[in-house]
Amino acid sequence: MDRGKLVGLMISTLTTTLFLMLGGCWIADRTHHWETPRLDPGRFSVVSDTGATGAAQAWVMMPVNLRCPHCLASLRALQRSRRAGSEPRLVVLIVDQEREPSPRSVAMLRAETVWWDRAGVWRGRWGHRLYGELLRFDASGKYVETLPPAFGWSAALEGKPLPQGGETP
Amino acid sequence: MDVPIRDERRATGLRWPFVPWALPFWYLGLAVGWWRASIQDLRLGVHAGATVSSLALVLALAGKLTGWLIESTFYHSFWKARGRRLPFWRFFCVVASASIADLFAHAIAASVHRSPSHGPWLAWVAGAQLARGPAWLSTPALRAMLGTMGVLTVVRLSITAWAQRAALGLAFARALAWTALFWLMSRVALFFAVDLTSGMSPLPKG
Repeated sequence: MDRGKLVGLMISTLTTTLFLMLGGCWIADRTHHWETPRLDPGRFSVVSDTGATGAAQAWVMMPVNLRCPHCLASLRALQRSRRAGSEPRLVVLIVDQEREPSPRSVAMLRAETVWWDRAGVWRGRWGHRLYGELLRFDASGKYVETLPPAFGWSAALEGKPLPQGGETP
Repeated sequence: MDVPIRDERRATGLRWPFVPWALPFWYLGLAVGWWRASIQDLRLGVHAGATVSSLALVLALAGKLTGWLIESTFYHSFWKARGRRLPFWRFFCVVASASIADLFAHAIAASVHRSPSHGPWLAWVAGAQLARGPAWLSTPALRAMLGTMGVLTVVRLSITAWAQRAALGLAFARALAWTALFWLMSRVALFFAVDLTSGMSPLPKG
């Protein structure tokens, strides 16, 4: 077999293999049993909680990566659209962070409640992957829905009644 | 061993679409077209009226160029593995040129975004994503996979198949069948990639 034909065969085989591997990853991901998110402080490290401790009517959680300027900008946009202490209460979840976040980086978030996802629950157990999304929970911490990043949050959070729970893909 | 470039004309029926001196201008025109289309795409991705960084534009254009190179390399290798020779740079020129069909689809999509009253028939031409509310296209990953499918996609695939027919002496139907299969595989791969990237997180619809 000449060299050109061999190289062609190798590239064709490699492409097909990559396609099949990607398909295999997708099947494994889609058939994996992901947990339904739950607002449970016991699963996360509370690194800051300066807000009112009274019972909230509802909660929203925004996962942010401290090294991602885009999702920090999303957090700023959300904070600008809300008054401090307003409902639903906001929990900022620091994700994909192996070391404990420094007090300076936590202060930089300017949020009343900040949790650190030390165990990788958001990604590894819930199967979520997009920073800056908004997870909504009811007063008891039961999951309601997830709004995609850069969604019109302020309108959605103020005008939308809380529907019944259930994980959405 | 590769056939030297000077022998290509005798080895294949696929000719350069232009005289050689016009090729740089042709590629420049394509680059400008895709540059402008990328500005529209990136503005939609951020928010209307935002300025788009030059780096993002250069990356978008580099991505387009890489896509053409990968597509040309794949077809070149596929036929080489079967003992046939598809001249790489001529085929690359056809692949890049056929992307004009996608540019037309972009322009039509932009006009539909500006004037949503334009007929839904445009979806048949420029892509199913322009149609209002087909439920099967509601998932962003499915939109990424099949949203651009329309008459202009068929035109682009037909041009690619025609180039293979001309270069390799295949029946057009056979060349089109292979091309359609590879296109479908690339769209399925895109679906997998988009869906894996988002996981259980919802993507913005639109």
